Amino acid sequence: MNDDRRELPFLLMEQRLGRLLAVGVITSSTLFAVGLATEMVAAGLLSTLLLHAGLLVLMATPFARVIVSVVEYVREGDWVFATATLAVLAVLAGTVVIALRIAWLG
Amino acid sequence: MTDWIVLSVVAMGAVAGALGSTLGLGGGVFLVPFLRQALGLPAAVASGISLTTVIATSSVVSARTAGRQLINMRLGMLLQVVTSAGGLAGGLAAQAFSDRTLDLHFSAVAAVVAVVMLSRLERRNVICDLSVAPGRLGGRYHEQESGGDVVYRLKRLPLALAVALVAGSISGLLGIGGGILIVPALNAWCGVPLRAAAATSAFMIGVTAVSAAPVYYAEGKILLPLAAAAVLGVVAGSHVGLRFGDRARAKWLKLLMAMVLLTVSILTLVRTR
Repeated sequence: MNDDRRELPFLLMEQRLGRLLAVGVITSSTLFAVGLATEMVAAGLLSTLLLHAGLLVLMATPFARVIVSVVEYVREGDWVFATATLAVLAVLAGTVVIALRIAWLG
Repeated sequence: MTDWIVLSVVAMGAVAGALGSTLGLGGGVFLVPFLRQALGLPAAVASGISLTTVIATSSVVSARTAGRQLINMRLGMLLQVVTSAGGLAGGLAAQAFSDRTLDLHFSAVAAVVAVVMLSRLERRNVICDLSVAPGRLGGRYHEQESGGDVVYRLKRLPLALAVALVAGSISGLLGIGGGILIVPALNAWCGVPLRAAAATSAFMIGVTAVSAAPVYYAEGKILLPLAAAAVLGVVAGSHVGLRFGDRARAKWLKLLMAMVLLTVSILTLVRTR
Protein backbone atom coordinates (compact mmCIF):
# COMPACT_ATOMS: atom_id res chain seq x y z
CA MET A 1 0.00 0.00 0.00
CA ASN A 2 2.76 2.40 1.03
CA ASP A 3 4.55 1.48 -2.19
CA ASP A 4 1.55 2.59 -4.24
CA ARG A 5 1.32 6.01 -2.62
CA ARG A 6 4.94 6.73 -3.39
CA GLU A 7 4.37 5.58 -6.93
CA LEU A 8 1.56 8.02 -7.58
CA PRO A 9 3.73 10.94 -8.73
CA PHE A 10 5.41 8.61 -11.20
CA LEU A 11 2.12 7.38 -12.53
CA LEU A 12 1.13 11.00 -13.05
CA MET A 13 4.45 11.58 -14.76
CA GLU A 14 3.79 8.64 -17.03
CA GLN A 15 0.46 10.14 -18.03
CA ARG A 16 1.99 13.56 -18.50
CA LEU A 17 4.64 12.03 -20.73
CA GLY A 18 1.96 10.27 -22.74
CA ARG A 19 0.28 13.58 -23.44
CA LEU A 20 3.61 15.22 -24.27
CA LEU A 21 4.40 12.49 -26.78
CA ALA A 22 0.95 12.79 -28.34
CA VAL A 23 1.36 16.56 -28.75
CA GLY A 24 4.78 16.02 -30.30
CA VAL A 25 3.53 13.48 -32.82
CA ILE A 26 0.48 15.54 -33.79
CA THR A 27 2.53 18.72 -34.21
CA SER A 28 5.30 17.14 -36.26
CA SER A 29 2.82 15.15 -38.34
CA THR A 30 0.86 18.31 -39.14
CA LEU A 31 4.02 20.16 -40.11
CA PHE A 32 5.06 17.21 -42.25
CA ALA A 33 1.65 16.90 -43.91
CA VAL A 34 1.38 20.58 -44.76
CA GLY A 35 5.04 20.76 -45.72
CA LEU A 36 4.82 17.71 -47.96
CA ALA A 37 1.65 18.93 -49.64
CA THR A 38 3.21 22.33 -50.26
CA GLU A 39 6.38 20.71 -51.52
CA MET A 40 4.49 18.66 -54.07
CA VAL A 41 2.43 21.59 -55.30
CA ALA A 42 4.78 24.56 -55.02
CA ALA A 43 8.17 23.51 -53.72
CA GLY A 44 10.11 26.36 -52.24
CA LEU A 45 11.36 28.00 -49.08
CA LEU A 46 8.07 27.59 -47.22
CA SER A 47 7.75 23.87 -47.85
CA THR A 48 11.40 23.33 -46.91
CA LEU A 49 10.96 25.25 -43.67
CA LEU A 50 7.82 23.33 -42.77
CA LEU A 51 9.49 19.99 -43.41
CA HIS A 52 12.56 20.85 -41.37
CA ALA A 53 10.39 22.22 -38.58
CA GLY A 54 8.46 18.96 -38.53
CA LEU A 55 11.67 16.97 -38.23
CA LEU A 56 12.98 19.17 -35.43
CA VAL A 57 9.76 18.80 -33.45
CA LEU A 58 9.84 15.05 -34.04
CA MET A 59 13.40 14.80 -32.72
CA ALA A 60 12.70 17.16 -29.85
CA THR A 61 9.85 15.02 -28.54
CA PRO A 62 11.92 12.24 -26.94
CA PHE A 63 14.32 14.92 -25.69
CA ALA A 64 11.49 16.66 -23.90
CA ARG A 65 10.44 13.33 -22.51
CA VAL A 66 13.85 12.74 -20.94
CA ILE A 67 13.93 16.25 -19.45
CA VAL A 68 10.51 15.80 -17.87
CA SER A 69 11.72 12.52 -16.38
CA VAL A 70 14.83 14.14 -14.91
CA VAL A 71 12.78 16.87 -13.29
CA GLU A 72 10.35 14.39 -11.83
CA TYR A 73 12.98 12.05 -10.40
CA VAL A 74 14.83 14.97 -8.85
CA ARG A 75 11.62 16.32 -7.37
CA GLU A 76 10.86 12.96 -5.81
CA GLY A 77 14.39 12.63 -4.50
CA ASP A 78 14.93 9.45 -6.52
CA TRP A 79 18.61 10.11 -7.02
CA VAL A 80 19.60 6.82 -8.58
CA PHE A 81 17.24 7.25 -11.48
CA ALA A 82 17.71 11.00 -11.65
CA THR A 83 21.36 10.24 -12.31
CA ALA A 84 20.55 7.61 -14.92
CA THR A 85 18.20 9.98 -16.71
CA LEU A 86 20.79 12.76 -16.53
CA ALA A 87 23.31 10.39 -18.09
CA VAL A 88 20.92 9.80 -20.96
CA LEU A 89 20.40 13.52 -21.31
CA ALA A 90 24.17 13.96 -21.43
CA VAL A 91 24.45 11.49 -24.30
CA LEU A 92 21.65 13.25 -26.16
CA ALA A 93 23.28 16.62 -25.57
CA GLY A 94 26.50 15.10 -26.89
CA THR A 95 24.73 14.02 -30.06
CA VAL A 96 23.43 17.52 -30.61
CA VAL A 97 26.87 19.04 -30.04
CA ILE A 98 28.47 16.60 -32.47
CA ALA A 99 25.73 17.26 -35.02
CA LEU A 100 26.20 21.00 -34.71
CA ARG A 101 29.95 20.59 -35.21
CA ILE A 102 29.38 18.52 -38.32
CA ALA A 103 26.92 21.06 -39.69
CA TRP A 104 29.25 23.96 -38.84
CA LEU A 105 32.43 22.50 -40.21
CA GLY A 106 30.92 20.43 -43.06
CA MET B 1 11.82 13.11 -56.86
CA THR B 2 8.48 12.33 -58.41
CA ASP B 3 5.17 12.36 -56.65
CA TRP B 4 4.90 8.64 -57.24
CA ILE B 5 8.04 7.97 -55.29
CA VAL B 6 6.78 10.08 -52.42
CA LEU B 7 3.45 8.24 -52.44
CA SER B 8 5.14 4.87 -52.56
CA VAL B 9 7.11 5.83 -49.46
CA VAL B 10 3.92 6.83 -47.66
CA ALA B 11 2.39 3.51 -48.62
CA MET B 12 5.41 1.52 -47.53
CA GLY B 13 5.53 3.51 -44.32
CA ALA B 14 1.93 2.57 -43.65
CA VAL B 15 2.68 -1.09 -44.26
CA ALA B 16 5.75 -0.93 -42.05
CA GLY B 17 3.84 0.88 -39.33
CA ALA B 18 0.93 -1.55 -39.37
CA LEU B 19 3.19 -4.59 -39.41
CA GLY B 20 5.39 -3.08 -36.77
CA SER B 21 2.68 -2.31 -34.27
CA THR B 22 1.00 -5.66 -34.89
CA LEU B 23 4.17 -7.66 -34.45
CA GLY B 24 5.56 -5.49 -31.68
CA LEU B 25 8.51 -4.01 -33.45
CA GLY B 26 9.33 -0.77 -35.20
CA GLY B 27 8.76 -0.99 -38.92
CA GLY B 28 12.33 -0.05 -39.71
CA VAL B 29 13.41 -3.56 -40.51
CA PHE B 30 10.92 -3.57 -43.40
CA LEU B 31 11.31 0.05 -44.42
CA VAL B 32 15.09 0.10 -44.76
CA PRO B 33 15.32 -2.60 -47.44
CA PHE B 34 12.49 -0.97 -49.38
CA LEU B 35 14.27 2.38 -49.41
CA ARG B 36 17.61 0.77 -50.12
CA GLN B 37 16.79 -1.98 -52.61
CA ALA B 38 13.56 -0.81 -54.21
CA LEU B 39 14.33 2.90 -54.37
CA GLY B 40 18.09 2.56 -54.59
CA LEU B 41 18.85 5.12 -51.91
CA PRO B 42 22.29 5.06 -50.28
CA ALA B 43 22.40 2.94 -47.14
CA ALA B 44 22.91 5.83 -44.73
CA VAL B 45 20.02 7.74 -46.28
CA ALA B 46 17.74 4.72 -45.97
CA SER B 47 18.79 4.38 -42.34
CA GLY B 48 18.35 8.08 -41.65
CA ILE B 49 14.82 8.12 -43.00
CA SER B 50 13.95 4.93 -41.15
CA LEU B 51 15.33 6.37 -37.92
CA THR B 52 12.80 9.19 -38.06
CA THR B 53 9.99 6.65 -38.40
CA VAL B 54 11.33 4.86 -35.33
CA ILE B 55 10.96 8.08 -33.36
CA ALA B 56 7.42 8.44 -34.62
CA THR B 57 6.46 4.83 -33.86
CA SER B 58 7.93 5.08 -30.39
CA SER B 59 6.03 8.27 -29.62
CA VAL B 60 2.73 6.97 -30.97
CA VAL B 61 2.86 3.63 -29.18
CA SER B 62 4.11 5.13 -25.92
CA ALA B 63 1.44 7.81 -25.94
CA ARG B 64 -1.09 5.01 -26.31
CA THR B 65 0.26 2.75 -23.56
CA ALA B 66 1.22 5.44 -21.04
CA GLY B 67 -0.61 5.56 -17.74
CA ARG B 68 -1.18 1.83 -17.40
CA GLN B 69 2.10 1.18 -15.63
CA LEU B 70 2.90 -1.28 -18.39
CA ILE B 71 5.93 0.76 -19.37
CA ASN B 72 8.71 0.04 -16.91
CA MET B 73 10.08 3.56 -16.82
CA ARG B 74 12.89 2.90 -14.39
CA LEU B 75 14.15 -0.13 -16.24
CA GLY B 76 13.77 1.73 -19.51
CA MET B 77 15.73 4.72 -18.28
CA LEU B 78 18.50 2.58 -16.88
CA LEU B 79 18.88 0.56 -20.07
CA GLN B 80 18.59 3.78 -22.02
CA VAL B 81 21.96 4.90 -20.71
CA VAL B 82 23.67 2.19 -22.73
CA THR B 83 21.29 2.10 -25.67
CA SER B 84 21.71 5.81 -26.32
CA ALA B 85 25.49 5.56 -25.99
CA GLY B 86 25.41 2.68 -28.46
CA GLY B 87 23.04 4.59 -30.70
CA LEU B 88 25.38 7.55 -30.91
CA ALA B 89 28.33 5.30 -31.66
CA GLY B 90 26.34 3.43 -34.29
CA GLY B 91 25.16 6.64 -35.88
CA LEU B 92 28.70 7.97 -36.16
CA ALA B 93 29.97 4.67 -37.55
CA ALA B 94 27.24 4.67 -40.18
CA GLN B 95 28.59 7.89 -41.63
CA ALA B 96 32.01 6.32 -42.05
CA PHE B 97 31.04 2.87 -43.33
CA SER B 98 30.55 2.13 -47.00
CA ASP B 99 27.19 1.14 -48.45
CA ARG B 100 28.46 -2.39 -48.84
CA THR B 101 29.50 -2.67 -45.18
CA LEU B 102 26.16 -1.34 -44.00
CA ASP B 103 24.33 -3.72 -46.34
CA LEU B 104 26.27 -6.68 -44.96
CA HIS B 105 25.41 -5.64 -41.41
CA PHE B 106 21.78 -5.25 -42.34
CA SER B 107 21.68 -8.63 -44.02
CA ALA B 108 23.07 -10.27 -40.88
CA VAL B 109 20.68 -8.44 -38.55
CA ALA B 110 17.67 -9.20 -40.75
CA ALA B 111 18.55 -12.89 -40.64
CA VAL B 112 18.89 -12.79 -36.84
CA VAL B 113 15.56 -10.99 -36.52
CA ALA B 114 13.90 -13.59 -38.76
CA VAL B 115 15.25 -16.40 -36.59
CA VAL B 116 14.11 -14.63 -33.42
CA MET B 117 10.65 -14.23 -34.92
CA LEU B 118 10.49 -17.90 -35.73
CA SER B 119 11.43 -19.04 -32.27
CA ARG B 120 8.50 -19.67 -29.99
CA LEU B 121 9.94 -18.62 -26.66
CA GLU B 122 7.44 -16.64 -24.71
CA ARG B 123 7.56 -16.62 -20.96
CA ARG B 124 4.66 -15.35 -18.95
CA ASN B 125 6.93 -14.29 -16.12
CA VAL B 126 4.19 -12.97 -13.87
CA ILE B 127 4.14 -13.59 -10.17
CA CYS B 128 0.57 -13.80 -8.94
CA ASP B 129 1.40 -13.39 -5.29
CA LEU B 130 0.92 -9.65 -4.94
CA SER B 131 2.72 -9.49 -1.64
CA VAL B 132 5.98 -10.02 -3.49
CA ALA B 133 7.79 -6.76 -3.98
CA PRO B 134 8.74 -5.95 -7.56
CA GLY B 135 11.96 -4.34 -6.48
CA ARG B 136 13.39 -1.19 -8.06
CA LEU B 137 13.43 -2.60 -11.55
CA GLY B 138 10.43 -4.87 -11.56
CA GLY B 139 6.88 -3.81 -12.07
CA ARG B 140 3.27 -4.21 -11.20
CA TYR B 141 0.37 -3.66 -13.56
CA HIS B 142 -3.17 -4.70 -14.25
CA GLU B 143 -3.38 -7.68 -16.55
CA GLN B 144 -6.47 -7.78 -18.70
CA GLU B 145 -6.61 -11.53 -19.30
CA SER B 146 -6.60 -12.54 -15.66
CA GLY B 147 -8.48 -9.45 -14.59
CA GLY B 148 -6.11 -8.74 -11.75
CA ASP B 149 -2.84 -7.11 -10.86
CA VAL B 150 0.37 -8.96 -11.48
CA VAL B 151 3.91 -8.47 -10.32
CA TYR B 152 7.25 -9.28 -11.91
CA ARG B 153 10.86 -8.93 -10.90
CA LEU B 154 13.81 -8.21 -13.11
CA LYS B 155 16.49 -10.85 -13.38
CA ARG B 156 20.01 -10.68 -14.80
CA LEU B 157 20.37 -6.93 -15.12
CA PRO B 158 23.91 -7.16 -16.59
CA LEU B 159 22.55 -9.28 -19.43
CA ALA B 160 19.77 -6.78 -20.09
CA LEU B 161 22.35 -4.00 -20.22
CA ALA B 162 24.51 -5.97 -22.65
CA VAL B 163 21.60 -6.63 -24.99
CA ALA B 164 20.54 -3.00 -24.71
CA LEU B 165 24.00 -1.85 -25.74
CA VAL B 166 24.04 -4.13 -28.79
CA ALA B 167 20.48 -3.19 -29.76
CA GLY B 168 21.26 0.51 -29.41
CA SER B 169 24.35 0.25 -31.57
CA ILE B 170 22.49 -1.63 -34.27
CA SER B 171 19.72 0.91 -34.12
CA GLY B 172 22.09 3.80 -34.69
CA LEU B 173 24.02 1.94 -37.37
CA LEU B 174 21.14 0.64 -39.46
CA GLY B 175 18.18 2.83 -38.63
CA ILE B 176 16.00 0.10 -37.16
CA GLY B 177 14.36 0.31 -33.77
CA GLY B 178 16.24 -2.42 -32.00
CA GLY B 179 13.14 -3.46 -30.13
CA ILE B 180 13.11 -6.79 -31.91
CA LEU B 181 16.26 -7.70 -30.00
CA ILE B 182 15.35 -6.08 -26.69
CA VAL B 183 11.86 -7.55 -26.29
CA PRO B 184 12.76 -11.23 -26.66
CA ALA B 185 15.81 -10.81 -24.43
CA LEU B 186 13.86 -9.11 -21.66
CA ASN B 187 11.12 -11.70 -21.91
CA ALA B 188 13.15 -14.86 -22.34
CA TRP B 189 16.11 -14.07 -20.09
CA CYS B 190 15.24 -11.25 -17.73
CA GLY B 191 11.90 -12.13 -16.27
CA VAL B 192 9.79 -9.42 -17.88
CA PRO B 193 6.30 -10.33 -19.17
CA LEU B 194 5.91 -9.86 -22.90
CA ARG B 195 3.49 -6.93 -22.76
CA ALA B 196 5.63 -5.01 -20.32
CA ALA B 197 8.76 -5.76 -22.36
CA ALA B 198 7.08 -4.58 -25.55
CA ALA B 199 5.75 -1.40 -23.94
CA THR B 200 9.09 -0.60 -22.32
CA SER B 201 10.95 -1.27 -25.55
CA ALA B 202 8.61 0.92 -27.58
CA PHE B 203 9.20 3.64 -25.02
CA MET B 204 12.96 3.28 -25.27
CA ILE B 205 13.57 3.11 -28.99
CA GLY B 206 12.51 6.72 -29.55
CA VAL B 207 15.28 8.00 -27.31
CA THR B 208 17.76 5.63 -28.91
CA ALA B 209 16.82 6.89 -32.36
CA VAL B 210 17.26 10.47 -31.18
CA SER B 211 20.77 9.65 -30.01
CA ALA B 212 21.69 8.99 -33.64
CA ALA B 213 19.26 11.01 -35.76
CA PRO B 214 20.87 14.46 -35.29
CA VAL B 215 24.13 13.09 -36.69
CA TYR B 216 22.34 11.77 -39.78
CA TYR B 217 20.54 15.10 -40.06
CA ALA B 218 23.75 17.11 -39.88
CA GLU B 219 25.28 14.91 -42.57
CA GLY B 220 22.30 15.60 -44.80
CA LYS B 221 21.29 11.97 -44.79
CA ILE B 222 17.66 12.59 -43.90
CA LEU B 223 15.96 13.45 -47.18
CA LEU B 224 13.14 15.58 -45.93
CA PRO B 225 10.26 14.99 -48.29
CA LEU B 226 10.78 11.23 -48.10
CA ALA B 227 11.24 11.25 -44.34
CA ALA B 228 8.03 13.24 -43.95
CA ALA B 229 6.22 10.82 -46.26
CA ALA B 230 7.56 7.83 -44.34
CA VAL B 231 6.62 9.27 -40.94
CA LEU B 232 3.09 10.11 -42.06
CA GLY B 233 2.68 6.61 -43.46
CA VAL B 234 4.05 4.97 -40.34
CA VAL B 235 1.90 7.05 -37.98
CA ALA B 236 -1.23 6.16 -39.95
CA GLY B 237 -0.18 2.53 -40.26
CA SER B 238 0.64 2.05 -36.60
CA HIS B 239 -2.73 3.44 -35.56
CA VAL B 240 -4.38 0.85 -37.77
CA GLY B 241 -2.08 -1.81 -36.36
CA LEU B 242 -2.79 -0.78 -32.76
CA ARG B 243 -6.50 -1.00 -33.31
CA PHE B 244 -6.62 -4.34 -35.09
CA GLY B 245 -3.32 -5.67 -33.85
CA ASP B 246 -4.31 -7.78 -30.90
CA ARG B 247 -6.36 -10.20 -32.91
CA ALA B 248 -3.74 -10.47 -35.57
CA ARG B 249 -1.13 -11.78 -33.16
CA ALA B 250 -1.62 -14.73 -35.49
CA LYS B 251 1.34 -17.05 -35.72
CA TRP B 252 1.02 -17.12 -39.47
CA LEU B 253 1.71 -13.41 -39.78
CA LYS B 254 4.89 -13.77 -37.78
CA LEU B 255 5.90 -16.73 -39.90
CA LEU B 256 5.19 -14.87 -43.12
CA MET B 257 7.15 -11.83 -42.04
CA ALA B 258 10.05 -13.98 -40.89
CA MET B 259 10.13 -15.47 -44.38
CA VAL B 260 10.03 -12.01 -45.92
CA LEU B 261 12.93 -10.92 -43.76
CA LEU B 262 14.97 -13.98 -44.64
CA THR B 263 14.37 -13.23 -48.30
CA VAL B 264 15.36 -9.62 -47.75
CA SER B 265 18.48 -10.73 -45.93
CA ILE B 266 19.55 -13.00 -48.77
CA LEU B 267 18.65 -10.43 -51.41
CA THR B 268 20.69 -7.76 -49.66
CA LEU B 269 23.62 -10.13 -49.30
CA VAL B 270 23.54 -11.18 -52.93
CA ARG B 271 23.45 -7.59 -54.08
CA THR B 272 26.63 -6.71 -52.26
CA ARG B 273 28.68 -8.80 -54.65
